[in-house]
Amino acid sequence: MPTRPELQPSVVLSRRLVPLAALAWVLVAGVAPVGGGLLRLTELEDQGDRLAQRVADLVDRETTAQARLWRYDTQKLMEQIEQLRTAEGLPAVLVEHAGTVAVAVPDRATTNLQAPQVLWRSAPTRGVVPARVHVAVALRPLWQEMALLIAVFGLLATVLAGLLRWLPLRTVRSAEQRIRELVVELQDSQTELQGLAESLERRVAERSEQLAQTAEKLRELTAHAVQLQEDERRSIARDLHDGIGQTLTALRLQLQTLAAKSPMSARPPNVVLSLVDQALDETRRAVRRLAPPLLAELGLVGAIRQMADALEARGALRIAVSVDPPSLAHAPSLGAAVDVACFRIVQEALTNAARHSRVGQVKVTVQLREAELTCEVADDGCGFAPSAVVGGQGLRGMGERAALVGGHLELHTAPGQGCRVVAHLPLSTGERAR
Amino acid sequence: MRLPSHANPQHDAPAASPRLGSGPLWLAVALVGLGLALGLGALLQRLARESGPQLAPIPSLAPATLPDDAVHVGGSGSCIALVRRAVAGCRQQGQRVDVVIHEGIGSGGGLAALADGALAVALVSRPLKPEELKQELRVMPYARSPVALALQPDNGVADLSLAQLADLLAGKVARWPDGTPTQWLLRERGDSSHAVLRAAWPAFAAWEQTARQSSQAQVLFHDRTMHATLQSTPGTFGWVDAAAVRAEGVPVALPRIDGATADSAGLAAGRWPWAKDQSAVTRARDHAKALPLLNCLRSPAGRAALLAAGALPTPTE
Repeated sequence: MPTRPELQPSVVLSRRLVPLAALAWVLVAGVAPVGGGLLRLTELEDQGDRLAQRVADLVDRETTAQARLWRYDTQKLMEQIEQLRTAEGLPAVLVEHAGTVAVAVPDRATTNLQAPQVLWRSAPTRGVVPARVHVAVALRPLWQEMALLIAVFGLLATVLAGLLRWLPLRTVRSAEQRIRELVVELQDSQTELQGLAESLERRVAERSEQLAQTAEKLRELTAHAVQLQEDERRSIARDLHDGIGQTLTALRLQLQTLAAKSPMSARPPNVVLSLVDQALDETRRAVRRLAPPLLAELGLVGAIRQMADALEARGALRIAVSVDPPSLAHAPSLGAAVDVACFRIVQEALTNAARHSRVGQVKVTVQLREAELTCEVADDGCGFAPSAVVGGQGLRGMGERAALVGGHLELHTAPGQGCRVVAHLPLSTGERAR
Repeated sequence: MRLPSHANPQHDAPAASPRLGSGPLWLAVALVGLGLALGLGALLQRLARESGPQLAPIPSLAPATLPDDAVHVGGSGSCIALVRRAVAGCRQQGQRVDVVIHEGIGSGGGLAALADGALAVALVSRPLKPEELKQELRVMPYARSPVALALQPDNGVADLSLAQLADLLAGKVARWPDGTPTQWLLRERGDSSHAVLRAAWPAFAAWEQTARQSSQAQVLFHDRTMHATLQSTPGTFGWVDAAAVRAEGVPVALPRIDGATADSAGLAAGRWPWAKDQSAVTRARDHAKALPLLNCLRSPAGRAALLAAGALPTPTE
């Protein structure tokens, strides 16, 4: 449905002010002349009544002195009436007696005077001679006054109506002009602000890009550092295994050989062999700590399954390992840093479960998404209150390992509700490519 | 950050309907216009209602009806007082004068009433006009009365020179010796006393005209009102029939002019310059009816009364 175009406020106001101005014009231009005319007419009627009564009183005085012969002295009566008529500016005065015009001033022709020339008023005599006096009051002052009122108030009404319409319109138009200027200023400000915003967005994007690159670089450096650390650990472990380990093994064989060949009294005490065995065990444990032998040989998923199997073999736990996607089990390394972090976190979590959860069922889930590896270890054990943990070296170490590769660790547990440890480990660009 | 774009400000204006609110105003305009039309209609209706007396003018008034068994006398006011004085004198002397003397209606009014038969005797104080003489009338002059200046005795003026009188009439004298402001009381133009002065003193007409045109002019139409005003209003002066004033006993001063008094002696000596003749006029067919009055006026008692009032009786044939 087509809509009517919206109008400017000044146009709307202009249309609304037309009847208002018309009302003001009609009121001012019309009421004063008509009201003034009615008032003036009333004044003239009152004046006519007063003058008619004065003439009637005069007739009374004249006729009372000569009740029988007054009609022969009408000349003096006429002169007196004429004197009064002239003084008061009356067009005509008639004295009616017995149905006829007894006296007509200035002459009998004035009996034909009518509106709009004159206004007739009358008054009765109250003396011995019954008569009625008719006075003609000139209406010229009435018409002159009304014409003057119409002219003056018409002009005044026109000015007033004009002002009534012009002043509000001027104000509104001025406001409109100011609003237009403000809108232009606002548009300019908006354009400028938009430019600033775009510039800021650009700079933020640039900075974000730089930050991302830096973060990526940092992750790569971290991964590289972890890799170097692992390599160094393997090297140390190899040196321990190949150096001290072989030496201690050779020393034990020599001690066994010496013991077999020596008499009982010259045999080295068993405690020496025990000390050597103990040194060998410590060396082997140090080698395992420095470089998990399974991770390099079996990969992350294989190492986790091997570790789970070993724990199950001890009879402590029943561990279910799931991989998503399944192809991840055969995938190459996701990077030494991520592999080690994930393996160590799972290892620590399983160790904690074995020690504290007092249950036998643990579920390990390794999940690979586009840019993140998620490792989750969940048990249905007794759980615990995180705030009640004192020390917490294990939890802190898991968090630090996750943070070292740019990820983070989540711990979901409460007393009686089991425990779920989730590590989110982001993959670097290179790892994602792999 | 992105700000919302601005639309055209002209299109952002409030979408107010121009018709909203205009209807009542137009209704008010119509009501006011209707009210004004009604007011104007009321004004015109009032004017139309006062359209004047619906009369049928007739040439003259019907004659007065008076009883036939009496002798009705009327006319000039200055004659009335003197004739009443004469009739009273005659009656004191045992004469039977059965007349009814009416208030003054002027010489012209008396002659008109005589013509209508409303009066048996008309008293006139001026010469008859030619058209009045055409009727069958009998004119009997019975006295000559002085026309004099009258003023209040308190003003302290008993004598005036003619020059002083001229100054007074010319408006050059603003106050009387007692300090009272002077004010001239005029009579109507047809008054017989003023007519005498205009005829006998040419400068008088100009002074009278000037006085009539003054905003302070006061014109009186009867002897009785002249006498009453002279008594009641301080500082006033006017011209009167001296005999009538005396006959009625009006308490006014009649100052001497150049030593002459306004009385029969002044008239008889010819020193008083202004006087008018008084006459009794009858219709020929009613003359006998008027004889008692006429005889009284000619009788010694009547003449004595006239003389006492300061009038100079007309010599008998």
